[in-house]
Amino acid sequence: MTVLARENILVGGIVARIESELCSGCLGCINVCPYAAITFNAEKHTAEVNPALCKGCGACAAACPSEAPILLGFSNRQIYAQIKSALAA
Amino acid sequence: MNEELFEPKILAFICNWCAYGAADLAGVSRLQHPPNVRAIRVMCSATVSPHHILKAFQNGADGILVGG
Repeated sequence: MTVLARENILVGGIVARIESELCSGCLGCINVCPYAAITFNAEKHTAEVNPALCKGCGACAAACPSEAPILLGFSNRQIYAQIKSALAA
Repeated sequence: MNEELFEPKILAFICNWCAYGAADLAGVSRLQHPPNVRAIRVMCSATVSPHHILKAFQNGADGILVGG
């Protein structure tokens, strides 16, 4: 079935997820997101990623001063581990 | 006097679509490069933050390349 004829389409799983407890509501991630995938939930006072729009670029994860967004599969902890082992030898 | 050649450790943050794809193509084309450059794949160069750069220097990197 062609893309436009389907009822729903599958998009990639490498998306960002925001830890609500860490989010301070600075709107930094919302300003940098190139795909407008993040909105601010005023009731919960946290930013929220729409995983269908998110393309997994990680700009939000880099911009956030509290490290609240986690890019699934490429989190800061994972990258630190890669840095450490790449330079170990 | 025993002179040892300085071999720098260079860490390259390369983005999945552009730079990593290019490095992959270079590998498939059997182009060769010295082992000084160590690659870390990121989804986009926007993923790289100053924390990563500083962490790399702390772990002994002599130079850093961000490709995107």
